[in-house]
Amino acid sequence: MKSPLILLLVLVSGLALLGLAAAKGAILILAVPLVIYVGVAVFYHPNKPVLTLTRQVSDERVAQGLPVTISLTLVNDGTLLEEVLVDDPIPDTLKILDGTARTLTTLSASEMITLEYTAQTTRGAVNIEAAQVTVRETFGLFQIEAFPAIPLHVSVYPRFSKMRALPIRPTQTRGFSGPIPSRQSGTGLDFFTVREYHPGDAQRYINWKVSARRTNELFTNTFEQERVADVGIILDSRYLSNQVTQNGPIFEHSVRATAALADTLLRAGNRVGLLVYGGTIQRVFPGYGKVQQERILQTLARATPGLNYALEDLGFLPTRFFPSKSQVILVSPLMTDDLRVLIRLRADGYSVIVISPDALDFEASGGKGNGIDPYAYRLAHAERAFLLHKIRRVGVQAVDWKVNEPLDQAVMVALTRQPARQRGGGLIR
Amino acid sequence: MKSERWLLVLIGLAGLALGIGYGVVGQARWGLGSLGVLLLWLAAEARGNRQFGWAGLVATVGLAAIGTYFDIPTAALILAVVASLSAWDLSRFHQRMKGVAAPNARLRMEKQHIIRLATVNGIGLVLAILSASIRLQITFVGIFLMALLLILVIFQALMMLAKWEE
Repeated sequence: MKSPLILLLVLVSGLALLGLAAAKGAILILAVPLVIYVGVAVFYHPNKPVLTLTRQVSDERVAQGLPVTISLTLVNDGTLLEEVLVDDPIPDTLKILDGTARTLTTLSASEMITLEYTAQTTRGAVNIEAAQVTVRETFGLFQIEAFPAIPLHVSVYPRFSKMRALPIRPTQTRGFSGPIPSRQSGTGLDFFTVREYHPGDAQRYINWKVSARRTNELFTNTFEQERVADVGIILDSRYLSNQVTQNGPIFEHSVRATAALADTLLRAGNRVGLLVYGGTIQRVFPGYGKVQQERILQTLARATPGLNYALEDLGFLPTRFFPSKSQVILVSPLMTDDLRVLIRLRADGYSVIVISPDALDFEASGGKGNGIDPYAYRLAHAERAFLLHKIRRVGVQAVDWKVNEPLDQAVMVALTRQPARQRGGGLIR
Repeated sequence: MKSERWLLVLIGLAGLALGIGYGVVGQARWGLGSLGVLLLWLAAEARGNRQFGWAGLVATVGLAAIGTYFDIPTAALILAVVASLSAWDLSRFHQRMKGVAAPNARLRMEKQHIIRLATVNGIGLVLAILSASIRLQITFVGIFLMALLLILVIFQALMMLAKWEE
């Protein structure tokens, strides 16, 4: 019964009408305890509570999987409240590990209670705008609900492992010194070429072996300048390429990989931008440093796979977003039609790396009950291997990443073993 | 918990009052029916199912009203109504407390609730039994006017409830 008060009123009225209709006082008398019960509830009915609520959170930005402690303090600034139900309406994604987000208590004047709970949540943003406070008299017939605004905003960032510096070689670098070989001679550590001696060159850089072959000519070693680069990361959030398997969404792995890549590239001093392409297009314009990392992590925290028929293939990728001849890293499980776009990117002068989480392997690793036909799996695997092969043939560096292996290991193996012609500066065939 | 035992005792008391009342006036079938209905309620409450408390209260009040036609002693009927009202109230109280009551506040609230419930229903029981001894002669017009007044009161109460909800 939703409203006990209505039930009691119906019973009292029913008994009274029946008693009057039947002219039986005994029936009327049966209503007396019910009337007194309701009367006392009316007498003690709660007034609008005067409460002060404050909220504290241990950390407003937290990595995925780490616990966050939220506390809610309520002070009764009014008179005695016989029953107070305090409910912090937590979203379904928040999993309480310890404590409670809901309590029923009684509060005397000036009394204070604190509700504290530790929760864990999935990647994303946790937003709670108001708590719910329900005040009742002790019989629970009358209640007043209040929704005091005490907003809580917690950003849950993807959790990622640190990576070693990426061996990228974009066609063009920026003017500041950094870790990326710039294909230009100057001050650096790696040997670049030999040129004729110019007055003022340091004597220790003279290449005596080459100079010995010529008469009256000296040659000097030059070194490759190391600069920072522009790197654009594209996170594929298309629904069709990020289907959910028994092991969960592979998109989560893509997000973690993107966060790890952004972290390692920004730590190396590069200018990094992010484009999340799928249900919508979300951009983080290229930038440097920790602030940029924060922007990227915030965007990744909110990223979800989405279905948008206009963005079903990468054809509408806003390539102008990335500086020309810069390094582009696509994080995507890949679809067959994506090859066309990768060719276009290469033709536009971008150096492209594809980091492709292996959705097939991810699904197959679910165990015996995954329902995958072994022949179908082999065919799909062969199709994927062929796609990756074609991608490599057009001069794109492709990393076939089995998500149960560390990304760092997969990237290092793939990017250091490929022949030079297939690296950033490779030919398009 | 102590008050949970009280809840079961009260349902049993309501059942016994009705059963014995009907038995005294020779209506064994009604008596057994009353006991059966209240045993169902008792079983539901004992299993922690608190969804049917309202049905138990309605059934008890209905059976008590029917009992007046068989001239069952009014005190037994009033006792049954008061006991079932108390049981229904305790059942709802436990439903509200379940899983959300702060451990330190639980005992305090329970004590406070039981004291008020016992006081209110004790007063209700005494007043109802006292009213049973009052004899009034009311004419048909008087009854008609009282019925009109009652309808007006019910209407006002419903209006007040609607306003309260807003």
